Amino acid sequence: MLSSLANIYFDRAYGYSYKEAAYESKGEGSAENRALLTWVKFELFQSNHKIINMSFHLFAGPYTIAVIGVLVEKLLTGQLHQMDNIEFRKAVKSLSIPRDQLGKIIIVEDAFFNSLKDLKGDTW
Amino acid sequence: MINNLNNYFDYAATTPMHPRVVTAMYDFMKDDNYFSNAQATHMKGVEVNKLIQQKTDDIYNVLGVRSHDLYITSGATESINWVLRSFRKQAQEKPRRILSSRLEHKATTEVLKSLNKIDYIEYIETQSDGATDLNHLELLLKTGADLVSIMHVNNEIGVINDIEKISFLCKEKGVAFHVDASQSVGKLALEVVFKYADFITVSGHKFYGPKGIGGLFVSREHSLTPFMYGGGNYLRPGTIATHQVVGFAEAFSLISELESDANRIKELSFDFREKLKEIDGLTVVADSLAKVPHIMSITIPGVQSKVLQKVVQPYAISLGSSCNSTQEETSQVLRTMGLSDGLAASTFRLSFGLYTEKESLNNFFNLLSLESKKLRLLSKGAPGWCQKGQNA
Repeated sequence: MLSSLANIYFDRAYGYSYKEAAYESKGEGSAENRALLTWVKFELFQSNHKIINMSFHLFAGPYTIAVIGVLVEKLLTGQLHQMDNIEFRKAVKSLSIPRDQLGKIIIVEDAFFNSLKDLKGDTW
Repeated sequence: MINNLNNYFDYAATTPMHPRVVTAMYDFMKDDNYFSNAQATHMKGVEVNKLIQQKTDDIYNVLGVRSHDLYITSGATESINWVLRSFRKQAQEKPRRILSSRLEHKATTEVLKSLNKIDYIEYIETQSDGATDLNHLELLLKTGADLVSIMHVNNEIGVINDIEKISFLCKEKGVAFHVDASQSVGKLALEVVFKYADFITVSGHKFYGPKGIGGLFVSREHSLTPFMYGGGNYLRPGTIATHQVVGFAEAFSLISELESDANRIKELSFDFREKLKEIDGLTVVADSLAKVPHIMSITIPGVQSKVLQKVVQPYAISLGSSCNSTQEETSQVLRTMGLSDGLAASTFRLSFGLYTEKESLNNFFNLLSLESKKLRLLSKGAPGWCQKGQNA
């Protein structure tokens, strides 16, 4: 199951990372956990208080890519003021991520909120 | 050739059964004369027993073995467990001293870990090319040992150990010598192994035979106590898996064919290695001449091999050697070879065999080149531990 899911999300997430659009401001942030061999960095682009594009760099396994795929799908075109209340675990519940891999979600979450913080600092 | 096997590059993990093996086993299984238990004393049992003896003799003849007895086991893991747990120089219960290498397969290292509380286990150092350091072995042997256990060909990096020299050092000190030859049957000539080793482990599924069967060759100068207890044969109890023995013997009969195919694989592998130089930053782990051409571990810094495995589907490449998918544990072999956790996570293994063809390798190379570039873009700007390894 993971194999096909990871492929779908990899393609989706990978595709978004190259999307280009005009933006008003940009925020970036990263998080890492060396023990889990995972590093994630987001770049958020906003225009009119909406996230119009997200790009990312990562060094991670297929579960992390799948999580980012779902996340990008849910957050893109969302209003900035709604972002603080996103429940990551609920958002990626459909992936049935094994318990021992759940730590990866926290890294993605931290990276996202760090980039959001940076973006808001720039925007407001 | 069988088309759906052209994308398979994991022959070191297991090989598909050769059509001749399948036919031999199928013909045997549907023959009503040979279903009986080989240990039964009635006519049908005696017939099966005779056939098993004949198949065992066929194996001896193919290998030219005269000095060892073959015991059929369930595979290399059982054979290794049996030797390491049961062999004693004298019938005393005092702790033994066993010498081995950290580059061994888990079937050896995990057994040694479990024996660590009752025996003295010591590890021989490894040279930079991955081969066993003979000077260190000589030094360790000066203070005596009971058993030395070394693999002929390493399953992750393909390095070949010098069996003749190791054996010479062992014989000089009267130390028994076990060789795990799982990866070398059908790839390298085994004369040297049978000439010099006291115990030899082989596994059927590594050379186009059935899974679930292996063998332990025991020199007639040595003896083993049983490792398991039960009915039937005293040394290796349990009903003999007769159909497996038939397939196992048939696989041995392929050896000359496999050894002649080795030259083709050598050329394929050489061409492929030349092409690999085009991928920026790519390194072959412990690249040296003293290696079998059909196994190679490849590191592409900044590209997680777990992800690479998904994106190069349907090509089958192995991560099993570099990391345990559930425990995220770095391979001891790669760690011993000096790779950091970060680099080990960017390492995968390719192994070639009978059905590997130039065209599929070229196609795989093109895909690998493209996807590794894409994945590197994703990890652009990643911290140093991702790109160069945790300790870099």
